[in-house]
Amino acid sequence: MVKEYISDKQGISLIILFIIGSTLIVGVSGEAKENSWISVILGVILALPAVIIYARLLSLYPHKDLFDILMEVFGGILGRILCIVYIWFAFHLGTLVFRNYLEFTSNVVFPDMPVWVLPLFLVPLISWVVKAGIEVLGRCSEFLIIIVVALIILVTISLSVPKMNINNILPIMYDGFTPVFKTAFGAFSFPFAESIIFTMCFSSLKTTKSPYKVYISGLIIGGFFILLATLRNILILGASTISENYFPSNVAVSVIHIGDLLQRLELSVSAVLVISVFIKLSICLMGVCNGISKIFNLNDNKFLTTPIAALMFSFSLFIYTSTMEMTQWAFEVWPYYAFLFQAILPVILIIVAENKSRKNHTKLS
Amino acid sequence: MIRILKKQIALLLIIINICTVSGCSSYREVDQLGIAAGMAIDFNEYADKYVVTVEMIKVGASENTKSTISKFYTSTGNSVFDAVRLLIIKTGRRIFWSHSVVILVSEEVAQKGMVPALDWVNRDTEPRADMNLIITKGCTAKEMLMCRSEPIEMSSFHLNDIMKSQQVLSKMTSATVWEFVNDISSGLTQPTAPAAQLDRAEGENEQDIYGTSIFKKDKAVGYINGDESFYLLMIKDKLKEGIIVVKDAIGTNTTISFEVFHNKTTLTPIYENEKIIMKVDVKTVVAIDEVSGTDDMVVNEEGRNKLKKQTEEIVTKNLLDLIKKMQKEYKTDVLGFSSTMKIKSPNMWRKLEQRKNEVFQNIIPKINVQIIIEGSGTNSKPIKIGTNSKPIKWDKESCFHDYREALIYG
Repeated sequence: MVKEYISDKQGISLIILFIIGSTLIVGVSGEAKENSWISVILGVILALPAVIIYARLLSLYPHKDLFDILMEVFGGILGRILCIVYIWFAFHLGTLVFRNYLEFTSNVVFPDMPVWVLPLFLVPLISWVVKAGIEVLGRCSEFLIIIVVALIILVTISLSVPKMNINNILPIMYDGFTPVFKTAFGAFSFPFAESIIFTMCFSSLKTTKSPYKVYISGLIIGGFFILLATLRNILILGASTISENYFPSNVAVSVIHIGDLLQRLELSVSAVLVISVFIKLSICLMGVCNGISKIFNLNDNKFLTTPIAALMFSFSLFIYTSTMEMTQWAFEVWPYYAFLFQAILPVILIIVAENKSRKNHTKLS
Repeated sequence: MIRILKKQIALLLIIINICTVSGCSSYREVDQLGIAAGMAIDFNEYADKYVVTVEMIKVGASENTKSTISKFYTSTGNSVFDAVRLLIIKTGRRIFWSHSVVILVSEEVAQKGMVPALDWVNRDTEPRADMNLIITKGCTAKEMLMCRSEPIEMSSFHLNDIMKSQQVLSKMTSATVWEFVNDISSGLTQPTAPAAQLDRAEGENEQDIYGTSIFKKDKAVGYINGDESFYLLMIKDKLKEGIIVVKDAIGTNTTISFEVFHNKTTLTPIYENEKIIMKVDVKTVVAIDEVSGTDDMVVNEEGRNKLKKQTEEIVTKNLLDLIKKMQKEYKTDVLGFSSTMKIKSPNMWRKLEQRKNEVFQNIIPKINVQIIIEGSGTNSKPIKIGTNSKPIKWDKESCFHDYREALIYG
C-alpha cells in the first residue's frame, strides 16, 4: 500500500468542514436559548483539552491511526474489542449525519421527493472518494472550504446584519450558568469532540508537530463559524423561534430580503450543508473502513467502502421513526453516549500510552 | 481492453444520468401550477369550520391586456390545512404557496385565538413564514381579499404594497407570521398586527390598512387607530418616518405639519419605593414641511421655541394616553415594557416575574420628549400674500373687457 500524505492546510480545512457539518443546519440548541452563543465558546474551550489528547496520541505514534494505537497499547484482543467499539461509533455517527441530511432535504428542500433519490448520488460519491484515499479528500476540502467560507460570510452573515436585533441576546445569562453549561456540554459532543474520528484516518499527517497544529486551529476556526451562525440565528430570530425550529439557519436566512433583488437565499444554506455533510460522511466512512481492515489485517480496504456506505444509508432510514425522535436523541442522549468515546476512552488510552512510551524510552536510553 | 470497457461504461452512465436525472422530480409546469398570492382565514360559527379563501394568480396569454388576473376560491374545512387541501376540489390543481405574500385573518378568528390560524403557515415548508399578517376589521377576511373592483390588479399584491410603503406613514405596525409567533411564544412583548378596513365610500370598495390590532397572548383584545399606532411605534423605537400635525400652532390658527426624519426612544426602568417607574426618553428630529398659514411668527426664532414646546407637549400627551389605554383598558403589554425591564435590569425582573401580568398595569410612565426642528424644507418663511398689490376683483364685465382687448391687441 502506498503511503499517502496530506498537508497541514488540507488537514485544517477537513476539520473545519467536518465541524461545520450538520451543526450549521441543526444548530446548537438546548436550554441555553439566547445564551447558546456563549455555550458555543464554552464548548470550544471544553473541547480544546480533548483535542490536545487526540493530537498527542497521533504525535506519540506518528504515521499510525487510532486502531493501530489501540492494538499496540492494549494488545491484540482487548485492542481489537476497543477497535470494534470505535468502529461502531464512527458508523453510528455517519448514520446520524446521514439522517440529519435526509431529514433536512425531505422536510425542507424536496418535500415531495422520495427519500432515497439524493443518497442515490451521495452514497456512490462518498464511497468513490474514500476509495480514492485521504489525499483526494484533502485536496477536495482545500478547494471546497473556499466556497463554504465565502457563502457563510458573504451571503448569510453580512447580508443579514440589517435584520439583526441586539435585544435578542439580552439579557446575558438571565437564567444563570447551568443551562449554558448544559448546552456547552452538548456542543462539546456535537460537533467539536466528534473530531475524534480524525484520529482514525489522520495517519497521513507529515510531521509529529502537525497533529497539534491541525487539530487546534481546525477546532478554533470551525468553532468560530459555528459561533457566527449561532449568533446570526439568535440575532435574527430570537430565542423562542430557534428553540421551536428544527432547522433554524434555514429560517434565519429565509427572512433576508435586500430589496426585491436578493431574497430566498436559503439555497446557500443547503449548498453549505451538502458540501460539509459530504466531507463529514466521507471521514466517518473512511474511519469505519480503516478500522475493519485493521482488525482483520487486510492490506486493502477499498472493497469495503461501497457496502459500508450503503449500509450506513439504510441504517439511517430506520434508526429513528420520526424527526421528533431524531432531535430528541441528538440533543438529550447523544452527549452522554458520545462522552464515552470522546473523553473517557481517549483519556484511559493516553494514560496507558504515555506510560508505555516512557518505559520504552527508558529502555532505549 | 478493460480500460476501454470502463470508459464506455462511464460514458453510458453519464448519458443515462443526463437523461434521467436532469429533470425535476415532482415536476410541475408553470401553467399547470396554481400560484397563490394570498390567503384569507375566516371562521364559520354555525358549521364550526374554518373558511379559507385563496387568491390565485392566473397567467393569461393575451398580448394586449395585462397578463396576470386574479381568481378567488373558497373552501371550508375542520382546520386551516384541511380547508387548504379541500381547495383542490375547486381549483383542480394543487396550490403552490411559496409566492404568497399576505395572510388575512378576520377579527373573529383573532378574538378566538391566532394559533390555530397561523400554525400551518408557520409549520409547513411551502408557505413562507415572512408573509405579512393583516387583521380585517369590520368585514370578513374573504370580503377584504375579494373586494377589488378591477380584476386586473392583484388584491394581495396591493395589500403587500401598502405594507411595504407604510414606513413613511407609520400609521400601523407591521407583522410577519414568524415575528407574530415569536411574540406569542416569548410571552413578554405582546403581539400586534396591522388592521385593515373596507372603505365603502362612493359605491366602490377600497382596502385600507389603518391602525393596529392589539393582542393579549394570541387573542385580539382591542384596536388602536392610526395616530395611536404612530405613538406605539414611537415607544417601541420602530418609528422611521411619519408626520406630526400641530393644529393652532402657538395660538394662531396656523396648522403646521412636521415630517419626522429620525426618532430614538430609550426606555429606562427605575425601581423606587416599591414602585416601578418607566422613563421614556424620546428624541425626535423633525422638519417643518407644511405651514398652512401666513403668520410669520410661527417660524421666527421665538416662535420656533414656542412651537417646539407645544409639539413636545402634544407628543407627551399622546404617549401618556396610549400607555394609559394599554394599562387600564386592554391590560396588555404591547409596548415592550416587560422585555425592557428584563433586558435592562434582570435582577429586578427576577423578583417581579411571578406576577408579570400585574406589573405592567402598575408601571408609572415618566415621559420626556425632545423635539429637534432641523429645517423647514426649501422655504424659510411662510408664503407671503403681498400687502401692496391691489386685490383683484373678478367680475363678468372686466373679464369680458380684457378678453376683447386681448383680441384687439392680438
